[in-house]
Amino acid sequence: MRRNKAILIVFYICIVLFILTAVGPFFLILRTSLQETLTLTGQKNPEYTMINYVRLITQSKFPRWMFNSIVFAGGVTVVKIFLDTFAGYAFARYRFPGGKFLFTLVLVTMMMPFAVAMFPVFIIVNKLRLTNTYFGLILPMLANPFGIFLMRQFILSIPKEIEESARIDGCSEIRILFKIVMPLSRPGQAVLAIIIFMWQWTNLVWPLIVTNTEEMFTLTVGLAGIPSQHTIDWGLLTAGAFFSVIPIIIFFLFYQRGFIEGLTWGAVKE
Amino acid sequence: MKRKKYLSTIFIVAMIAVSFVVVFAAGNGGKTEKEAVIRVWKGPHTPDDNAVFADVIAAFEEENPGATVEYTPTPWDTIIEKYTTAFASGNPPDIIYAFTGGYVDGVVGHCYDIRDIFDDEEFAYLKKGVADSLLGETTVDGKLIAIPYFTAGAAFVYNIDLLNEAGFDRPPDTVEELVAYAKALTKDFNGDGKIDQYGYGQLSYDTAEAKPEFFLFDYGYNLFNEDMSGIGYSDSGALDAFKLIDRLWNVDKTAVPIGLYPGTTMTDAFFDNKFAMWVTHNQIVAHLENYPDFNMGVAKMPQGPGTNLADGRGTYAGSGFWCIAEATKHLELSKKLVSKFYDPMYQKEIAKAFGFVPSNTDIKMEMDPIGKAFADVSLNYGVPYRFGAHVNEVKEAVWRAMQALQSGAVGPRDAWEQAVSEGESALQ
Amino acid sequence: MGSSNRKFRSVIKNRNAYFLIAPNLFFLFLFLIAPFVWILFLSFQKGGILGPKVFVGFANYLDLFQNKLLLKSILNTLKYTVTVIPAVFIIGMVVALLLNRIKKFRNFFRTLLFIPLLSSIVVAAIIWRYLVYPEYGPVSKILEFLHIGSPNWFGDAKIVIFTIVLVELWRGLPFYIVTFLAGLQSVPQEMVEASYIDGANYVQSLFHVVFPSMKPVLTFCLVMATIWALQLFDSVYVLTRGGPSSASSTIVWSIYENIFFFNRVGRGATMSVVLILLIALMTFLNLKLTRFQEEQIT
Repeated sequence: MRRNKAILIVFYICIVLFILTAVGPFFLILRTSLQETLTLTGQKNPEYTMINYVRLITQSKFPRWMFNSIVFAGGVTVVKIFLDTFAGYAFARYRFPGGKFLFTLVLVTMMMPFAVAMFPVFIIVNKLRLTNTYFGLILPMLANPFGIFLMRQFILSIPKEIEESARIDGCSEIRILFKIVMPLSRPGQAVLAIIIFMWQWTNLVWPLIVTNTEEMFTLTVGLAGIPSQHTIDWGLLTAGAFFSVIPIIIFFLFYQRGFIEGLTWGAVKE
Repeated sequence: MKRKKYLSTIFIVAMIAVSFVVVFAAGNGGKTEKEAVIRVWKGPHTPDDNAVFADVIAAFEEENPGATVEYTPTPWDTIIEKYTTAFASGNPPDIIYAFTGGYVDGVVGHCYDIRDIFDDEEFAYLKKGVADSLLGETTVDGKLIAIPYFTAGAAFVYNIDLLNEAGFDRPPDTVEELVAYAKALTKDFNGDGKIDQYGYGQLSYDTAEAKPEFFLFDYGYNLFNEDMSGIGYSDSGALDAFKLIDRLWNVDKTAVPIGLYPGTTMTDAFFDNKFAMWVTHNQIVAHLENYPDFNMGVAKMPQGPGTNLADGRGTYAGSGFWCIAEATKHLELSKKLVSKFYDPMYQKEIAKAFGFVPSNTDIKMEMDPIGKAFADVSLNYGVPYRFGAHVNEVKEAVWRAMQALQSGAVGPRDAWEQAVSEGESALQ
Repeated sequence: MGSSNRKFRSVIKNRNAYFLIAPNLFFLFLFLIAPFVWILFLSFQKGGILGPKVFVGFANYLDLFQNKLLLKSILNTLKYTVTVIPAVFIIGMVVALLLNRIKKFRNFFRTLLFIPLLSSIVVAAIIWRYLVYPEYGPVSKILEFLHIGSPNWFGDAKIVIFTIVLVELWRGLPFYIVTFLAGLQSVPQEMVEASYIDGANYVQSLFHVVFPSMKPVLTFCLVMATIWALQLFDSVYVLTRGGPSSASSTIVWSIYENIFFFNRVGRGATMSVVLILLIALMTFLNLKLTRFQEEQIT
């Protein structure tokens, strides 16, 4: 008994150590962000002050970047929920000519990294005169096979009986889709929403290429551009970093189970 | 349960907001047809570039009702790909601030030859006070894309106090002196085996900033030959430049190890007395006001036996200037704005804010001693660059070889040979 | 004639399906599939972003085999992949096993451990640059206190890839921890107990009962981890820019550099094709590997 307890305590200590490495840095940068950087990293005014946050909000385009990130990540998420549920439903319930081929195509594109497509996509977005617009940010990010795959798997696990009895009762296909399938896929959609939102919130490369003016930067792009303009102001930088992480951490804390279920979904529910 | 309902209302609100914004933004795209918006891009040279241009922009907008100027400082970290993608899109900014040295080489060919768009009188106005010899710097493939606007350069910069402490009352003149100074200035204060102060440092973030060619300048060599058709350091004498690097970084270990202070932290380190001497560009002047107690010295670069200062070879100096993109839809207005930039009254004000020297020598600047020292070095010893399609690649090749040498991975001869072979293949 | 008639009727009967997948496939085609085909064509051409392109056949591919830099990128990418995957699996599994044994606070701990995954690479870069800043950064201070001395994290060509591994591990582990934990919790307890009764010790039961029943999870993670590792770019872009001396240049970095900095679109496209082939190959190998193990055990 005692040995078991001792081992358990060791386990707890190990976990706590891991947690310190995971979460500790955030507290460290929080502390730095609350101190004014006078000249150098070593010389910080040790008093706690909100001046970095004030400067962040008033002197840089940070609030606009935050807004852009919300619109970008939110926009992609919302549209994807519809698009992927429809497509997932189609692949799950219908057997149609070309269906197998198209689904295999979807699977294959899962292996295609965006980095390879970024240059042609940029040219296309340009020809469409969508550079530096919200449409330009959002539309290319809708091309992601992951959601189709996820929703298909999820819908496959919903019993068909409900739809079939509705069909027998004379319900039109559209009503079945919106009144039955959509509501029943909520859990899967929640999972999808969270993953996609997280991916787009932290997306760097595409917003970097497609935006031209500071007005349209997302948080990641804006934050990446700060250091180069003058000597490193750790206070400002860490304030920016902390501020850009807070919204998604709050979102996460609200809906942890969804996040975690979302991530493990593809793995565990094969 | 309540939480879930809360979230779905947030979702719905977000959806509405998003659609509203998306429609609004799409509508924004059409705005340019009605009002003329002149877009100007420039890499920032101060923390608040917009303020520097406020006056000239206000004057322009007043004289040209219906036209607005959208001035965008484009961060240096992403400037190359931003300019490239903007021009590739066929929808570039109307006016860009361009300069020699490897950032914008890919796009300047797509700017107007100013002789084609400005008439003789306007051209004379732009060119007033600018020496003919400088025009080579703004010529690309036979096109004169601008009149030089600023001359900016780099110089040898040192910490006067640290030098005095080590017994030196003047900066090093020759390369041998540089090596000796570096030795005397590298110190381990508490004897723990870790060096606390180095003699020499270097700009080291990305290629364009690192300016690897300075070591070549020390010995009278350059990245390219005169007409940009070949590399300029294939002569075996250039090996001396690599030997100097080897001396500072590997043999004496008197230079800041590469990567120790990534990015702009190098500037912080200089002001923190972490090293005593380096070569840097005149933008450092803007930081001096944060360190009022710091005594900075500016001089020409130390020279090796191969250099001939009378030739004017000694440091990097380039021109910055304004070009108009060929794809602009507002040619007349852009011409007017560019002319306004070249108005001596505004040019002087802008140059002063950035610490640059106007290429228009009729403009007399009152400069503090340090600014003047930079100006002297740039004007008297500056080696002008030319534009070329593969400048970035050749610089990258040289910089790679020097980095490998500085980290001790290869010896000086191997590094030089690598730089030569990769530089030559980059030109194909 | 009968079968094409049948097909046509099937199309009409299932027309809803086509409407449903159309918008999604439209975007997929326009922004993913078409660009890939375009890149493939570009890999047979030489030219810059602006300006004419010349058809050169397989010249770019031949050049690749002789271009030391490009080969180095491939090597660096493989080096990174081979380092990061075992690390992520071992550490991830250890933490997951630990968490599995702890009853109290498990969800709370899991939540805390998850947080690094939420930061973008820019945030992670700011955090880590600050942590290891010479002399003033907390990690540097700790190392000095332990008299170990800081390595030159970003400047030493030999270790810069490992610095990146460290940053990516910090950020990416939560995914694996959480996934492995979920997998562990779905292992049927009876089987584990049965193996103990049969006389197996802890390690044996792990390898003979727990891991095999987690096969889908492990396979999925292995495949995804490999695909993501081969695409390493964001960290390189933000932290090292491929340096020093291309020691941290990965395949995607070299694609980006060649297209946007050096104006060599053909070369970038060629590397892109190489990347796709590499991903396909590694995925295939991973799947083969795990299937082979299954045959061994059963």
